[in-house]
Amino acid sequence: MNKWLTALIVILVIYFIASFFAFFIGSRDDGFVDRIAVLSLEGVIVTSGDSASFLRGSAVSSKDFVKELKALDADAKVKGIIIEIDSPGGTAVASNEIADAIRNLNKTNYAVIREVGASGAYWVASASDKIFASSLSITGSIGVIASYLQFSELFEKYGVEYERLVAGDKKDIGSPFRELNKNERNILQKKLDLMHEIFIQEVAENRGLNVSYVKGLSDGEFYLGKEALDLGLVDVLGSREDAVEMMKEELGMDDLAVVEKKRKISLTDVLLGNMAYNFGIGFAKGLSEFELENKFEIVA
Amino acid sequence: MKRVKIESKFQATPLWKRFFSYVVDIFLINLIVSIPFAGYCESRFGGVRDVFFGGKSNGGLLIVSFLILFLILFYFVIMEYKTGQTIGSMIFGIYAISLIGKNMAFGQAFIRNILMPFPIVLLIDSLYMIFKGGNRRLFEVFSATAVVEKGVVLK
Repeated sequence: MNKWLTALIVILVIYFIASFFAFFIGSRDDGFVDRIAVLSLEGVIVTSGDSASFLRGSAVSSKDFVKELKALDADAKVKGIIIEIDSPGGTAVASNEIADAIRNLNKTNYAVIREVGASGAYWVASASDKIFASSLSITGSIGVIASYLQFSELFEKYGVEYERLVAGDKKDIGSPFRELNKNERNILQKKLDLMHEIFIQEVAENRGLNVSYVKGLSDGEFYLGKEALDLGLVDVLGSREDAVEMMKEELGMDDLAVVEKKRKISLTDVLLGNMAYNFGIGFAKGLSEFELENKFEIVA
Repeated sequence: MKRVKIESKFQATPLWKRFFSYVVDIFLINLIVSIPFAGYCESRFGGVRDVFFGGKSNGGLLIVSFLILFLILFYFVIMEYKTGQTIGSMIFGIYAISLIGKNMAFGQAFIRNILMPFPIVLLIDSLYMIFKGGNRRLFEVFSATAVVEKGVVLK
């Protein structure tokens, strides 16, 4: 056999052996070193579905995120968890699911808000032991929104009529094809108020603050990190590195590695993202799904 | 017309060729082994540099270090056992040969290369050449092998 060919084969064999062991060692959950795990929460928080699609932009599924959190909690080598947040919020249920999972962690956990950690993302952050934020981070925004486009007049202009067939008078509440009546508006407002109240209670409980105090901050206004510190909505103005140092100090362990858990995005995630979602949730849903499903989406 | 006979002639290899051949090989093999481990070492130890030059001491680092040493040894032993040359020695035209048989045995290749992953110890091994005045490292003497370069003689 040609010597250069032999050399090529030997090199390839070495490369594959090294790759195999790197993968094997790297994929072992128990690892080898005690560490602080950093888990990113980036994009809109949703309950399930694709965590990331190329056109829709970044989103995080609470189902996947909670699974990751539980895995880290069960990993004996993980001594602390840092949740790095860059999210404008998401659906109320998804935010609550993640917040619950964080509250149930048995390990020291901090939240680090980077650019944005508002609304549902702040709900998530509030469940952690400590919140770090930059002085310029956008946070707070404790409120609930549920809005949608209503096309009835547009349809009327073009002679399109909404044929209403329902069993249960309030079944199509929030339909984009007709106006809300006063009663329906009140019903929806009550739901939002109730959710807002739960949101406020959760934040107050998580942060150890008085409910009436949090209520005073919960008109939906966002706060910059510096303001949030003064208001008691965050604990420390600092970066992820500051959080790591403080966690090491709190744990009394200097020799901890920092491991970043990256969300795995498959090729199908990129290529087969939910197209309807990409063109506007309300509009696409309104056109593609008729009476069987409520078109109303509530976002915290 | 006078007929010319071409014969191969093996002769001792200059030290500089052996040195640069080793440098090429060790650079190449470290590069190849480093690539797969780069991500792992970055996240666990603060970089692949720590694996080669020492960093936080722990079990994972030890295992990765041993694996790298094994792969370096594997490279030298298999290449010289199969072809009598490594990539570095192919570039510089030098050969490892057995002094006790036509082909180098696996055991000979193993013994002569056992110090290859340890440059400092290899340096001590190489001092034998200087003190003894020959062209063979101590472990080449143990393995009954030598490094030569091929010349051409016209007769």
